[in-house]
Amino acid sequence: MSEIKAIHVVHATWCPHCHPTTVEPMKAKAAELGVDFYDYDIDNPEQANKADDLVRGHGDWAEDYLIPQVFLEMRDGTLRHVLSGYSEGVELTKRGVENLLKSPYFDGDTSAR
Amino acid sequence: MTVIHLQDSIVEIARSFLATTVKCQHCGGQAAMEYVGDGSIGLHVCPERYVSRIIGYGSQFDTGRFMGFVQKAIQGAQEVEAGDIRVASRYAWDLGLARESNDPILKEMYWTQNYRRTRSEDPDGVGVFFCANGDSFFIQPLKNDERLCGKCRTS
Ligand SMILES: [Zn+2]
Ligand SMILES: [Zn+2]
Repeated sequence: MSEIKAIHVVHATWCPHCHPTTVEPMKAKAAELGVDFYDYDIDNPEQANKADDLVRGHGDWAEDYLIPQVFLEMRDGTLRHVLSGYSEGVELTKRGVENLLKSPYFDGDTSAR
Repeated sequence: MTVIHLQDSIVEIARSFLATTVKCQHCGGQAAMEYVGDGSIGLHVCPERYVSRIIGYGSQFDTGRFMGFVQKAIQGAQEVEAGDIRVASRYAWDLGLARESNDPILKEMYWTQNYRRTRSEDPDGVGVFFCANGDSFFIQPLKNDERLCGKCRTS
């Protein structure tokens, strides 16, 4: 059974690093695992507060922080920042998401970590 | 999965995994990766030598030091502010490396020219360029086409 309880993604609707590169594959993975999925749009005032809290508390915080940022909420209650978008180019963000989805976090044996 | 050894340095990982070519917003050409000094600073530079982005690589976010570097590079064109710097942690799992650690492999700090706060469409403005000899940054009006810094032009 997956150690992951939920997947959280901070994003913007206009950002190609977020859509379709990150949000859609992470959402599909959450559905596949049967875990909760939350996305926070930084341009939506209510969701932006939650996004700021997540990034400030657990992620790559800067005044004008990078998006997307992906967080895994584990069954033990911990929240792990696992990915930030790559300013070097969308192809690197895409590679990062693909690698993350192939990583031990998603192979059903995260207890080994 | 690429197996890497612990002695592989941050600089080598940056060169192997984080080097991209991007479209230059100044001339529309291709801005490729170049490195400054020991390689802990990377730049996106086009053939006309316009600097699209300055990237710092390290084991920690040393934003103060990075801002100092950027400020020196862009001196005379603009002032850098904390809000102009963005940061990212890179881990084994997103780089595709086999390493048994949850700790970040490296941290990146980014400064982007003509972005957000400093964005300007002023054709009479100045920009930050990097000498074709790779020795220093220089400032010139965006419509000029010098590819060398002042020192290299006179020597
Ligand atoms: Zn250019
Ligand atoms: Zn020079």
